[in-house]
Order: sequence, then structure tokens, then C-alpha cells
Amino acid sequence: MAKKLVFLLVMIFVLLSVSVTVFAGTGSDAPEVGFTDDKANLENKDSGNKVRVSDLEEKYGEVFFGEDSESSTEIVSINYGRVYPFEMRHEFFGQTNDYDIQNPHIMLMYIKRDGKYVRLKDVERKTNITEEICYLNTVVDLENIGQNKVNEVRVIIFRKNDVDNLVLDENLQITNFEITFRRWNPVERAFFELKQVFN
Amino acid sequence: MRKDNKERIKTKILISLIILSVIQIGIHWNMQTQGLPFHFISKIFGGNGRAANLDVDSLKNRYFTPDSITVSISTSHWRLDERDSQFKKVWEDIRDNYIPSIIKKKPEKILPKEQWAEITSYRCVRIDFEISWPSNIIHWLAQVKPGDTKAFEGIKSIVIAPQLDVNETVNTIFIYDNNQIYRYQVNIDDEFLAKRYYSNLADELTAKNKPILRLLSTVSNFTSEEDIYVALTDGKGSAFSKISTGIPEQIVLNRANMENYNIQDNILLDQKESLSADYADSSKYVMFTDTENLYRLYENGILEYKYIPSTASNQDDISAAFKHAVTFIEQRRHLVGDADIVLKSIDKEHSNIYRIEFEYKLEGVPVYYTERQGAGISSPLIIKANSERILECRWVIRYFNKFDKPMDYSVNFADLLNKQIVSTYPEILESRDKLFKRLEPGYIYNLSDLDSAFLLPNWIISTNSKDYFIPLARKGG
Repeated sequence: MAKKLVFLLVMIFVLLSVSVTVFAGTGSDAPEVGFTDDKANLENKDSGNKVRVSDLEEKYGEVFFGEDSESSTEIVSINYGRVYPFEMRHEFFGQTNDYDIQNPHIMLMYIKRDGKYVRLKDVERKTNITEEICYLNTVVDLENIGQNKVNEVRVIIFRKNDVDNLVLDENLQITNFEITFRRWNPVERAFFELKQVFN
Repeated sequence: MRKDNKERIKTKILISLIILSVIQIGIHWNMQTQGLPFHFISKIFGGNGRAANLDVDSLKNRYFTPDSITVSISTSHWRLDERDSQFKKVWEDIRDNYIPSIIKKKPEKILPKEQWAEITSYRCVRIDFEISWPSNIIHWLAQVKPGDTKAFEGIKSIVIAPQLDVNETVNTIFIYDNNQIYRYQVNIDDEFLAKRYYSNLADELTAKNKPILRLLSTVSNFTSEEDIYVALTDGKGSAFSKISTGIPEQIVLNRANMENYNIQDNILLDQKESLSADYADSSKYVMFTDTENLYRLYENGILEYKYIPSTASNQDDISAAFKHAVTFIEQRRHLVGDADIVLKSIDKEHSNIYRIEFEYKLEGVPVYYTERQGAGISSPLIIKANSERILECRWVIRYFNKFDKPMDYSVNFADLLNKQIVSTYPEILESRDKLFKRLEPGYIYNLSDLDSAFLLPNWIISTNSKDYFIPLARKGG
């Protein structure tokens, strides 16, 4: 009897250990139809030297944060729009046809708070720096709402390869925005907030 | 007595001969036209259950569907497609309640088309069609006769602007027919959706994390003939399925399908007995013909039909021509699987003949067609018809079925430009031609895809000069 039991257990054990390979993945079975090099392009393309915001602020603080700093020429024309239903949320965007895959554009966002410019961070990426080849965009929450409350936003743009020698109006763009806005319709807002609570 | 009996027998034979001849005429008419005057005859002689005489009236709503429904507040927009539950709700309300209501009445005001941009900048729900549906077809679809004063020439877009009237029982609706804008005030009856539903739709969509869209022309250097919306942030992305496609098995051109009558049953339907076949194993097509009809089915799945006699119709009836086209398609719809067939254009040619083009869609996502690799997008289904019959047809027949569960793909416009276009088709950015006809996710197949294939979603980008196809990137890499 004991022998039979042992034999049975051994058989089960052998079968289990053999069947492990059945569950082994054979690799992705998703066909590569439609996937070309584009997939590779979506991998982290941030190769090469990383630009550190703190280093830039230290080196170019005078021109970045100067009271009168504003360029008369544009590298990238920037616009913005408000994002419903978020009260403070705004999207800044700009496209350029003058691009180079090896030399992307850098955009830095700042907002004036208590007389000083502080970093205005993207709500998703949690950074105020955007690095892209031809289309720049960032979504931020401004800080002041109301008819007489002005948000002084500063957008700084330059090419990555120029980072060691930025000169205003030559290879450095500084654009200032003064943005005021009111609350969305209060009835709409109340309804939205109620829905958020119950969702 | 004997004479009486003889006369009775003769009378009975005469009556049965008359009945037989009426039946034969009915069969003859059935084979020559797309309508049969004797329904009961089609049931008796109907072959494989696909009656030649469909009830088109019950199927017409399949064709009258919007290309998109867009909810807008200021510069933020949300797009609904057929996969969204709100799409069906809104469209059925518009189709079944608002349209029949406005057809019967005069517009409150007629505005120039230049004001369309301002009207659509209100908080509104906007319904756009691929084409401007001619008003005659709208009347047939809505089963409503217009009032004495005919207003709009057609419907290209409809806007519901709930904020324009404070009265909760009245909604303001605008109709745009490519020439003018017609403003209506519609009383909201019990069977209508509440006005509040339209007012709160944007909040509902935001709570569901539907991507917020912007107008392409306001966020980029590109312009477009019609409004194109793009997402600058797309959250977890948009879901698309892999699609399987191929030539339907029943009409694959081979000896077996000919001998089993599969091809005849599915293509010729009730005409299969009257048309003679011309087919050899080595040939690339089979031809079925009689004195009036010519069908040709190619091995690449193209079906051609021609009504041989020259014909002219004195009656200019676009809705009758459309009805014939729909009947022809619906009799063979089972061949296309899960796909919808949508109207792409309807143009009048000479002699009261209409050229009607259709394309495929699957769950609201377009499935585009090209003749070959590198060629531009064209229509897979083109029908010419007049008020009496179909005259010509060319149909690239394929089935389209969802293959698996949807996966999330990135529809982020910035990523498309920065990560895909710059490396695959930089000429899109560098070209002086910045006018876009199309920029949207869709599927693409071409004529050379004969065997079963899988289709994955692509960006479909069309300028005035060329069409580009760039695979959508999976969300999360």
C-alpha cells in the first residue's frame, strides 16, 4: 500500500514539474503588423546630456528672472488655452517647422509669486521643463483666479545644443503672459464636484 | 350536362393558366428590378432565405448615423463615437424627436454660414455627418413630409445649444447645410431627453476621463477644410481592437464554391437561375450574365455589376436611387462581418443618375481602402443608380471582425508629431501644403490583402496631395 502511495506521489510530482514548462511564455504573440520603427521612437529618447533646470537657473538667473527680460524674436510661437472643468488649469503649446531631431527645443515655465519667479510644473510630469523636437506642450495649474488677479507667466525657450551660451534674442526666447480668468459657471462647477464625490 | 362539365374544366384550366402567367411575370419582374411587387411570390421561390425584397425601411437607419458627436465648452471638446453609450442616446433623441419636429416647421431665423464658427463656440453638442444629407432623403428616412415651406437643403451638421434659452422646456437647435444656418426653437416633450442631459454631458465625459480635444487649427500650424480635433493629453489613451479581414469564404473564387452554388447564392441571390455562368479554373474572374444583367466576381473579391441596356430615367428622385443602393447592399450585407457600411458621398451625374459612394466602419472607427500600397484612399463600394434601378456597382468585398479585446493606444497629438512624424514622414511638417483633410485613428487595408490579415489601428493623415498611414503606438510602450 505504501509503495503504491509513494509511486502515486512521485508520479504527481513528476507530472507537475514537467508541466511547468507548459506555462512558460513563448514570447509575445502579438504580430508585428503595423509596428515599425515607430515603436522604438516611443522609447525614452532622452539620450545624451540631460539639461538640469537648477544649473540653468544658476548660470542664467539674471536673464531668466530679470524684471525686464523679454525677447522680441520668437523661436517657437506659444499659445495657451484653458482646460474645462479645472478652474486653474491651462495648456501651453507651440509648434515649429524649424526642427532638428538631434537638437530638440527646451521650454521652461515660471510663474511670479510674491514678486519672484518660481517653477510652474506640469500637472502630470511634475517638472517645469519640456524637451521636444517640434511641438512643445505642457499643462499647468495657474495660481490666481478672479477678474483682477493676474498670473504673470514666463515661458523660456531655446535649443538644447545652445545651452552653454544662451543670449537673449539670439538663441534665447523669453515670452511673458499676463493671464486673468474667472471661475467657470458656479452651477456647473457644483454639479461637477458632486459627481466627483459620488464617483 | 357533359357540355357543362367540359366548360367548367376549361374555365378552371383557363383560371390556373392566368394565375401561372401572373406568377411568371412576377418572377420576371423580380429578376429585372430590385423590387418585387408580389411579396408572397418571393417567399415561395426564395432560395437561401435572403429574400430579394428586403424591408429597406426598417434598415435605413443603419445608414443615417452621424460621423461624430462632439461636446464642446469653450476651447475644450469631447468626441463621442459609437462605442460610447451617450452616442446612441443623443443620436436617437435627435433622429426620432428633433428632426421630425423641425422638418414640419419654419426656422425661427436663417443665418449666414460665416456665423457657424461663432455658433459652435458656444457650450453645445454638435452632430456632424460625413456628407450633407439631401433633404429628400431626410424626409424619407424620418418618414415625415415637410411643411409647405421647405427650409434646409440638407443636413451636414446639427448643433444643440442648451444655454441659449433659459426655459427648461425649450431647446435651441441649429441646422447647417453647407450654405446657410437654420435656427429652431424646439419644445421638449416627454419622449425627448431632458435639456439638462445636454447641459451636463461635458461634465459626465470629464468624470469618465474621456480625452479633452482641441481644434487642430488652434493648437498647431496646420489648417483643415473641416474641423479636426486632436488630443494634447490623452490620459490612458484610446482603446482599439485588432481586426481580422479577408475575402468571405463563401465567395472565394474556386471550383468548389461554383459547384456548390455558394457564389451564386451569395451574390446573385434570386437571379442565380436565370444568369448563365462563364468560368474556367484558370481565370481570374467568373461572369454571370443574361440579356440585361452582368455580374463579374474577381478572385481579389471585387464584385462588379452592370445593367446592360442603356437607360434613362425622366424622374429625378435621389431618395429612390438611394433606396435601390441600400437594397442592393443589404441583400449582401452578411458578407462583411461586423463592419458597418456608411455613406461617404452622393453626387448627381448626367441623366438623373446618382453616384453613391460608401465606406466601411467598425464600431465607429473608419476602415479605409487603397487599391495598392502607396496609393491614396478610395471608396471600396461605388454604386450608380437612378430612380428605377441600380445601373452599376463596384464593390471590394471584405469581411471585418473584431479579433480580440481592445488595447489602449496613444492618440496624443504632440507625441505623433515629436515621436513619429519627424522620423517617418517629415515632409508633412516641411511641406507648404499645411491643409489637412483628415487626421484621425483608423484602419487601412488594400486590394492586395487577399488572404486573411490582421489590421491594427493607424493614424490616417490626409493632405491635399497624399495620404499617410502611421501605426498608433501602444500606450505604456
